[in-house]
Amino acid sequence: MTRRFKPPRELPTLALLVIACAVLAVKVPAFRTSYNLTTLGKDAAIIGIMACGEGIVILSGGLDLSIASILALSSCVAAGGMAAGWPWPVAALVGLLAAGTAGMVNGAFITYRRLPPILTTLATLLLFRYGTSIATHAHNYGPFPDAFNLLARDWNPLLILLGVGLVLTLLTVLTPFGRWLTAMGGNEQAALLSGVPTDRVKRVAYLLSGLCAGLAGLIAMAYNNNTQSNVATGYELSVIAACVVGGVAITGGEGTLPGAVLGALLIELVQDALILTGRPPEQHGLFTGGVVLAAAVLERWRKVRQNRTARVQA
Amino acid sequence: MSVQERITAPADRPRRVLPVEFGVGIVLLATILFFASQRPEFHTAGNIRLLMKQSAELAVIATGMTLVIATGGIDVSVGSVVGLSGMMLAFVATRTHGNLLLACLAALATGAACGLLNGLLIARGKLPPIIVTLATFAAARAAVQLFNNGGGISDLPPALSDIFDRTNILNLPVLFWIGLLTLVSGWLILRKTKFGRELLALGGNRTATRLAGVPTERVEIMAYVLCGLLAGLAAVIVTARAAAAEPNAGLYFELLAITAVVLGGTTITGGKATLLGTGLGVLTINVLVSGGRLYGQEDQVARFLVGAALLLAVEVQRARKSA
Repeated sequence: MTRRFKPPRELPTLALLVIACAVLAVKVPAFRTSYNLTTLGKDAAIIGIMACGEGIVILSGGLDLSIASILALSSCVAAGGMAAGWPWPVAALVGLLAAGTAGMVNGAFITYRRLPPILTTLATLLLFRYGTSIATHAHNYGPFPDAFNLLARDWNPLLILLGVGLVLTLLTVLTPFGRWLTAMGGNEQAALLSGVPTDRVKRVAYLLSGLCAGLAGLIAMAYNNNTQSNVATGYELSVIAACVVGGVAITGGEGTLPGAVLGALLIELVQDALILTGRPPEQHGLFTGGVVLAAAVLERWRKVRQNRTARVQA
Repeated sequence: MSVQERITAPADRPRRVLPVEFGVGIVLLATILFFASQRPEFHTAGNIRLLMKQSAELAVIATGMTLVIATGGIDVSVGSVVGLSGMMLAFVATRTHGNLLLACLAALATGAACGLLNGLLIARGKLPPIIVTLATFAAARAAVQLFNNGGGISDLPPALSDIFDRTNILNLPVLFWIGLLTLVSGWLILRKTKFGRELLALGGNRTATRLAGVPTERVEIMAYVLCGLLAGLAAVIVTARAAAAEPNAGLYFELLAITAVVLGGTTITGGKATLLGTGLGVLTINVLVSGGRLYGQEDQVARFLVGAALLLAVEVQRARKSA
């Protein structure tokens, strides 16, 4: 039997991305300006870095709805530290630490207490966001030292995204952790019975997701040169959309992190195109929702076809 | 105790288990007692009437959410659907020179249509509920902006607020009766009808239910349609109480509704549901919010507490299961 060529899951996203880029570059002159491209890069980096973390969680069969709140938490902690006169590297590190702790809190509830991920992260979405808001009295922080703001200057966010994407992709491809992730997402019971330390893997997944959201928070505050507890409200939707669009199956076990990053790029590119063509930002949800549905339909279609070929071969 | 004994024990002597609603009942009683003892304003007739009115919208939404969660699904789009239906109500009311009946029907129809869309995609399209409703959550909130250039609509006929906000039946606010009636109807549907049994069966074991000859797709679609319809009804209440349709109406309703349902003891994985619990959960949330306001705290504190209550509720549910 000859093995049929199976196109990678990320191919439709990549193709769409290239086509959309080409069309925009030719048709819309404003797209080619370096200002537009760096802004796009910053947006894509924030969503893309979070999508890497969220991708890991979704691959393991979970879901993290609290990432946007963790973003707000880490940026407000870092900003509060800088306002208190800490040197910026220390403040940034403490911000990341807070994000990591938040991720560990999620992981702890989900593994030690066996709470469903959706409910746990829904609750921590509220707790982290409004806890930050109460603790900071919704204070608006900024400006920050120039050296810190370098984090979001020009192409730096995209470079950070590339770095994070590369490291985490290698982690999922080369290490046992990565194989355990996909094994768990496919069938957690089977993974557990074949000796995968499922709880430990989950805790690491939510920790990484928190850290990614924290890093994204630092980039966002550096770019805006200010931050507040209501920053990035609703971003979790865009990030989950990015993962789904990039071919990460929401049910877990299938997909790749480069796919999630491509999905983030595509979603942000579409948003950028809508802004450039004069659509009010409030209406973007119509489009993002449509893209998510389309990706979900594609995923479903792929599964139906997979089942059919499996049945034919059997 | 040997393994054999442990397996047969429950059959021999059925263990007494506290009703599911017990936990939330205790929490509700404790919060009420706390606020009543700390704040004399809390148990004035005026505040209790206000509490009854405020609870209506969440009671209506949480009833629909209970039905959806009973099937093992989830609907995170209800808050956006409330916003969209409210806008549709105001739009029709202003266009028909104050025809309230038509306007309210338009709001209900909008909600039901959103629910139908969700249901079709989930049941027929076999797509995950969380993804489908996340998409409609975003789309419906964005569609709100298509009305009146994204602004609110406030020139509504005063009769709307008069009917829903200022009318009393048996000396109690009409909104209280609407909330109660919705909860009771939900309970009747779930406990006394064939549809209700099929709904719970579906949440318990999908494949077994289908093999037993239940039209699972139709039942599942119906659950989402009812949930959307009730979101439309909540939109009528919200719009009447605010005397205006606002683009942000219904924000966070999905979180509050899910919290109320889970707090009440309905299992998030489906198959088991209690509307009495949901009603108590709704009251608990509103007592927390209202009590927080008496302390002069903003809604942030209330939302923080709701998050904590959700975690606590899930934890209690888990404890009951393992006991």
